[in-house]
Amino acid sequence: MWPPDPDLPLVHAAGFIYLPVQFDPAVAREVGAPGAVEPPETPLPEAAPSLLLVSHGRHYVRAFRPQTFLNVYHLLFPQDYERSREVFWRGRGYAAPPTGRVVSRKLATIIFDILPYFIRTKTRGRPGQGSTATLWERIGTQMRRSGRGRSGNDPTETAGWDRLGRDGPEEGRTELPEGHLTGGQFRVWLEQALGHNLQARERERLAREVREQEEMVAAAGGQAAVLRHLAARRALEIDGVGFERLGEKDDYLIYRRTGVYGLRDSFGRVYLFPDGRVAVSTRGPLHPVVWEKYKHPLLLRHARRQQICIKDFQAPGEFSAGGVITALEQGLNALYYGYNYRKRNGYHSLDRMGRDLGGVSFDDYKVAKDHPLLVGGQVEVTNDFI
Amino acid sequence: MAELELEVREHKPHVKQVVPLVVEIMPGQASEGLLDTLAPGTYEGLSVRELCEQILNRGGWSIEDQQIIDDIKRQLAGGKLLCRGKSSEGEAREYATLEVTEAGEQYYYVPVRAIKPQEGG
Repeated sequence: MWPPDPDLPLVHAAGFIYLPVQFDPAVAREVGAPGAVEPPETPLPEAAPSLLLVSHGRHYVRAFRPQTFLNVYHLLFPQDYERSREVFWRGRGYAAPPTGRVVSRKLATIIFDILPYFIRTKTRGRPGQGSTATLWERIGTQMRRSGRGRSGNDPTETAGWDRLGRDGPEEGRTELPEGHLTGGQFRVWLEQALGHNLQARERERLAREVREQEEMVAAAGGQAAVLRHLAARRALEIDGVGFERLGEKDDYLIYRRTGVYGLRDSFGRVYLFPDGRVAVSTRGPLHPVVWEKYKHPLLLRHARRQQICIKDFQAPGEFSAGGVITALEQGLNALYYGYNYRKRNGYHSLDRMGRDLGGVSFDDYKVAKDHPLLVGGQVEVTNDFI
Repeated sequence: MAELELEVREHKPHVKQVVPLVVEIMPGQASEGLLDTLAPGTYEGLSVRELCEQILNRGGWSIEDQQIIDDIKRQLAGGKLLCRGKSSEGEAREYATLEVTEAGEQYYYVPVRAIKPQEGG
C-alpha cells in the first residue's frame, strides 16, 4: 500500500485521506447491509468526517490525516527521511548534514560530567577551594602542552552554521486539494510538503544545536577555543584520566589509569602491579576492560583488552555519565580490592596454591616487603584490609 | 619490573608533630571528597574510622558537601572505609603524610576512601 500506487484513487475530505476499500465479499456485505451508512455521493464531508464514504460508486475508508502523516514521517520511515535529508544538504553543497555543535552530546557528557568526577581541582591545605575554571584552565594548559591527537575539522568551519537552512529559497507550501486524487498526485504533493517540512525541521535543529553549543561554552567558563580544540583533537588525559576517540564515528574510550599498586597473597608476600588503563568503550555495553596487555588474578589471560571479571555486575547497556563512572569504579575496585588472598578468588591465585586457569604467573611481580616504594608509602598494598 | 617507573624516594619515619589534621573522605574512586581540618588535640587517641564517623555525623555542611556525604553513605551501605588500602582502625598518624600549605604551614593529611569492595571472579 505504501507508497501509494500512482493510479490508486484516493479521496481527501474533511482533513482526512480516504483509501478505497479493497473488495472483500464480507466487507461488501457489511457496507451493503440494512442500517449501513447510506452512500452520500455528494457533497464529500467537510467538518465531521465519517468512517466510510461512497463516491463515484466506490467505498472509501477513513485512513489518516496528511498533516499528521507529515509530522511523523521521520519516525515512520527513518531511512527514507535520512536519505531525503542527505539529498537536501547535498543540493546545498554539503557532503553531509552540517551540525551546529562543535562538541557532540556524547563528548560533552564525557567532558562535563565524567572527567570532573576523577580530576582533582581542590587544594588540600585549603578546604573548599577549587572550581570549574581551574579544571578548564588545566585542560587548556594540557592541550597546549600535548601535541598528540589528530586534528579533525577546522573549528573555524563552524562559523555561520546557524544560518544554514535559511539559505535555501522558501518554498511556498502547497495545500492538498480536497476531493478526488490519484496516488500519483498525492505523492507529488507529499514530496513537496516533505521538502518544506524537512527544511523547517533542519533549521530548528541547527538553531537548537547552536543554542546548546553556546550553553556548553558558558559551562566551560567561556573557553570556546579550548572546547573547539578539544573536539578537534579528540583525546585528552589529565591526572591519569582521559578519553580517546574510537574510529571516525562518535564513539570514545574513556579510561582511568590504575597507577602502580600492590596486592598481597595469603603468605603476606607483596606483588607490584604496573600501571594500566581501566577503560570503558561507548560502543557497546559499559563493561570495564584493561586496555593494555595486562595480567591480574581477575583477568583470564595476559593479553590486551580483557574484560575484568566482576561478580554481580550488570554492565549498563546505554551510555550515560553515571553508567560510565559506575563501570570505571567497579573495574578499578575489582583490580585494587577484588582479590581476596584468603579465598584466592579469580582465574588465578597469586601464590600458585589456588586454581590457575591460564598458566599466568605473577612471580615476576613479587617484591620484598621492604621494597622502597612500599616503605616510602608511594605504592599502596590495596587488598590488605581483609 | 621494567614497567614500574616510579621514582623511589627516601623514606623518612614519622616524628610526632603538633599540627592540624586534614581528613579527606572520598566516595568510591572520586578524585575529591569531603575535606575537614581537625585541630591538634582533637584527633589523637581516636581511630580514623571514629574520626570519619564524627565528621560525617556533624551538621552544618554546604549543599555541595552534603551531596558528597550522601555519596559516601551510599558507598558505606555494604562498604567500608579504607585508608591507603588498609582498614581504618588505626590512629590517623599511622596513615598520615606531613604536607605543607603554600603559606608554609604544616599539616597531616589522611585520605580515606569509602569503598564497596568489588569481589572479582
